[in-house]
Amino acid sequence: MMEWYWIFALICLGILVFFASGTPVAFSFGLLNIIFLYIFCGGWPALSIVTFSAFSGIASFVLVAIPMFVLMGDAITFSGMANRAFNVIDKLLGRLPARIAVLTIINAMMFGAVSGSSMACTAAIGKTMIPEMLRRGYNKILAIGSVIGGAALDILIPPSIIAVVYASIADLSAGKLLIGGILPGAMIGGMFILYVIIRAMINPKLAPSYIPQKVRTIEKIRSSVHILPLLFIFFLVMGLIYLGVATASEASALGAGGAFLLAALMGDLKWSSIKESLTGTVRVSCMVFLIIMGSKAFGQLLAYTGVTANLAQIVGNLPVSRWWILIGMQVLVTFLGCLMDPTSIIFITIPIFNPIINLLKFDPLWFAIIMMINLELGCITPPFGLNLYVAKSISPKEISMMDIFISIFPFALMHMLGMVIVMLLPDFFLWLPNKVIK
Amino acid sequence: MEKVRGFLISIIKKFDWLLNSSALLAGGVIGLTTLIVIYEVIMRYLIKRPTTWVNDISEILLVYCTFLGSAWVLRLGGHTKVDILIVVMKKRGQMIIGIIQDLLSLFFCIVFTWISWASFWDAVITQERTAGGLFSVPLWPVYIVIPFGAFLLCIQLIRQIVDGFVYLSKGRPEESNAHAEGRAE
Repeated sequence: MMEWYWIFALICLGILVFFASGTPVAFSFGLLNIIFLYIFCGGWPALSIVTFSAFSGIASFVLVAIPMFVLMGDAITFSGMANRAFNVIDKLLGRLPARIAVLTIINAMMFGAVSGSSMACTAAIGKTMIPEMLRRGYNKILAIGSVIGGAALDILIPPSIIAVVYASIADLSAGKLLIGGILPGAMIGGMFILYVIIRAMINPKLAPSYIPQKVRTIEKIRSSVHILPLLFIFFLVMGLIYLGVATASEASALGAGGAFLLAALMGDLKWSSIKESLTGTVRVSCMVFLIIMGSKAFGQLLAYTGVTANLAQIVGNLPVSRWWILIGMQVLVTFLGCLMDPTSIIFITIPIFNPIINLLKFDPLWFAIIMMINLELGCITPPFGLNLYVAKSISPKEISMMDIFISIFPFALMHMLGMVIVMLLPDFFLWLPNKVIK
Repeated sequence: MEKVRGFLISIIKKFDWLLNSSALLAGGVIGLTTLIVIYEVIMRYLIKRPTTWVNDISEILLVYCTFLGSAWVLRLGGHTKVDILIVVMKKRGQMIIGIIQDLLSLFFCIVFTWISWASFWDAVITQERTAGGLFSVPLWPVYIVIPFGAFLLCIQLIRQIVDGFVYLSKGRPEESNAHAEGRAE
């Protein structure tokens, strides 16, 4: 038997080679698992772990929330509920500096509150808001930045698919993690809004102000009705979780059912759109679940070969403050975030990080929130932040990749600032999730 | 030659049909999961008679959804990959790397089909049941979908590898336009 650190080095090398070759992440994990289990854990019999983890990894009630959230978001989008709600916000927002940029960020956050995928949000919000801002003479850097920055918040703002995946891999309560994302998400979103307003006040050329169509107060009140379905679904899901009436999975199913019911009541439900939502959901779920299967076996591989325990021991006994270790882990995640997508990062790092943070006596929920902010940062950091490429694909031609890279810089900084604030004030950010009634 | 070609095309069409129907079935499975979970909440809070089977069945349905849909998702190119190195390559290089990726994936899928079939067969012989408190079902009907899905993945990968070689030798794939369209989506 080899020393554990050699095995660990080989595993890291394996990940690097398979991932870099562009083999789908799910199959890369699978290959890694069967090769290492065969060599280090006793040949063919050990491979039954792979089948077992295919079953035990996927057959977990927490994961029900993933397809449900996707379905719910789909129903809200195709029924036009989302669009109508955006129009309401447009009417309610008075005269503000950088008005459309603020509107974009709020819309992106709201879209996040119903969809749970930051890529879908970047595409959907960007398609309508970027041309609108450019038409009004907004600076293109500010315009793009507010779309990408706002959309990135979707990982934090519930319902978030990434939060469910994280909770399932790290054995946390999905409900608590979803609720825990609300406060930091709102805080960072608030920073974004303040930032665009201040930029526009200092230099009005960046965002020429215009006089929005005058809307009478009575009209404002009347149109507000259109925001109710969205609020209803959001509070149905989050409220049920918060009150402990239903688990995250049950609440998400009710949310999906509720969204379809509302769509049907408003006469927007067609057979073809049901079919489309369901197959779209299959697409997302299969992708995530197949990786989860590989990742479960990967965690067991690390445990059996002794890597997890030994590594946690060594890192835990490093002669430095535990805060440096925490910062080191976050730097690693930020670095990985530049190279790959958030789900893959969770699958690689959590089996290794979890024992370490337990040993260092950090609160796992708090750590999860910090990780999620960091994963958001990963979605928008060059060169390989996926959302940047999504933004490029839906932007007008005159916007170059370089513009996009520059545009996200202040928003990335604010994400980092948010991370530091959450690190410094654990009690404040854990207050809400710990209030969840069990 | 023409006959062989016609035969191949009809097989490919049948396989496409199989993938599409599996995907639709997977979608149906998701719909069913939604309904039974809602049913459970209603039974528990309104009628005060919680069910014993909803949690376990919905977990099993997730496994079904995954393995019914995976090969279809693969055809759409929907499985996440890290394409740092690939995006900077020329078209031909991308095709070659694509074949290598598919070969690596195929290796895993063949082993996986084999071991999951072994587990399935094991479950048939031992009549093993799911570990459930109040509710337990035989394990083999759950396990059977795993080798089925893995087998579909193998076939789809073989098809992509063949397409890749055809492209490299001729310039562009002829036999499976449907596949090319699927990938372009």
